[in-house]
Amino acid sequence: MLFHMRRTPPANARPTEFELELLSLLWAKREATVRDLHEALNKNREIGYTTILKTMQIMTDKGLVEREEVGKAHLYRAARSEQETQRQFIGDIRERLFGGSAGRLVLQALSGESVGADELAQIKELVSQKEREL
Amino acid sequence: MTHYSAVLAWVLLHVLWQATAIAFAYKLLDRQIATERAETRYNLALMALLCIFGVSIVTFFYEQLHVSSDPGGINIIASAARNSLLVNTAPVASLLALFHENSNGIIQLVDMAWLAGVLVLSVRALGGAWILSRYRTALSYAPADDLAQRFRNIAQRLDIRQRVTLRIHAAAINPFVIGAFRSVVYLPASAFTSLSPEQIDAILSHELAHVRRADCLWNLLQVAVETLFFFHPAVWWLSGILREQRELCCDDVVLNTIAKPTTYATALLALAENGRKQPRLAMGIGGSPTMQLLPRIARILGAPFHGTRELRSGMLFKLSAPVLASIAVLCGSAAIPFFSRSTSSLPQTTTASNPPQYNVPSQELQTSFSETNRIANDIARREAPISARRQAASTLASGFARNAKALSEQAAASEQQDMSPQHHGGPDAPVSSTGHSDVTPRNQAP
Repeated sequence: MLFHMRRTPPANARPTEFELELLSLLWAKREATVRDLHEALNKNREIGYTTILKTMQIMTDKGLVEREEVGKAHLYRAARSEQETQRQFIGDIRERLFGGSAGRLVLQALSGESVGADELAQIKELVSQKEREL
Repeated sequence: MTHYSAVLAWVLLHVLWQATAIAFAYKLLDRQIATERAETRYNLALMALLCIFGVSIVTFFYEQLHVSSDPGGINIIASAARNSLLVNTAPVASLLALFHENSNGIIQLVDMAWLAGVLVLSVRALGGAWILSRYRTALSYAPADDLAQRFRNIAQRLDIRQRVTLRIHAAAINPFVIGAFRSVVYLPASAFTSLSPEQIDAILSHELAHVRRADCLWNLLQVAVETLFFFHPAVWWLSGILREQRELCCDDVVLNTIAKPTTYATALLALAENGRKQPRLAMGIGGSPTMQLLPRIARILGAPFHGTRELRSGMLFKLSAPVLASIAVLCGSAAIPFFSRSTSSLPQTTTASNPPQYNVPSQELQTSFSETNRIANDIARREAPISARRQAASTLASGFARNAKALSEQAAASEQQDMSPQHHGGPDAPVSSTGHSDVTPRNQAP
């Protein structure tokens, strides 16, 4: 039996802006190769393949992502979920104490409460009905 | 200080019925304009909330004048003392004293409770602002150039003058905007995977509409009013209506700028679906409950919808309780007109309340009484603080003592004249040196 000692990320590894962008792609895709990330990012602007590769290597060293070798490609995964990263910056107790009042201070497009499944179904029905009319 | 604490207590009391009255007036007016645009209804709700605030300020100044210019306490003491010369009114005096003691305590209680509430809510608001600032800066990054350009274009089309920037947030679910003067719009990173560019534009238009209407600034004012008037449910009700109508107003702005309403509707739908996928809400940042999504989307697609915060029966009960309480207290205080205004406490009038009842005070004594009265009132008028009033009251009391002493001296002197011309020693004149005008002269053996 092989015990994989998962290297726990250092407690204060903060991602830079660009690293954050890559992290959010990883959170959306679950896992990706450098090529996938390169494709996704280049939809909006020109970023070199090597730039991304270097950043991913730095992030692996920082402990922000994990790398798995699958055949020839390297597959990257985020080391921590979005919630964990968030919590790292905010702290669980503080969030619970002040989260509600923080909600009052911002203006959102939608209320944060999740919408029920049947309500969603009704909305979809309404929308498709309207689309058929137009 | 005690003067202002009484003023505060009275202002808070009046807010109870004022806010209820304004809330009912709002409801009546709102029914008239129920089918108007969201803009109109928003303005009406905002006016109602500002009215509550403004009326309480006016009440504050009114009470300030009223409480300071009424030396009612001293007048009552004086008349009570005067009455006690004719009739022994010690029980009434002690009853008045009891009420005075309690009214002070009640005032303190009301003030302390309100201050405690304001403190708690302020701490919560500040704490929320603090985690918000960390949440924003730590997890956001600058958008790509073409998105930034599209953002600027929309801002220009909506005629926005102030500085506003766009940032992508790595962990948020819902887009949000923050900042009263230098606004920042945050778009969740997950939006790119689930929304088309047109849908993103619609969402950005919604957030920028908030910026154009200075909603962030008005929101801060709302939070301030909620903090100061936390004890009245009408304030929370109006505040909720205001938030709801605000979203509808921004929806209207979006509908004016896009070609197809379904674009915006599907964008909101996609965001809602994203929200469901998250096992835990992003920071509970959506803490304030707003209206349901279905009626709102129905309205976007053309169906009539005007808001859900109707005056339900539960709300009616919640509103009637404070107004009944305030009416009860106001009636009780009106029955005893002067005492509720004054903050002084009664002196001990019993010491001077047992003069001989068979003696009519001489003219000089009567003048002296009114003289003492006048001095006491002067002091009271000049200085409001309780120490001065106490001083005035004690001046009054000692004035009574002196007058009573003089009264007994006079009685003794007149008795002496009636009696045979016996000579009493100078130093030990038969006058009791205590305040009690016990005028039995000391009999000396001739």
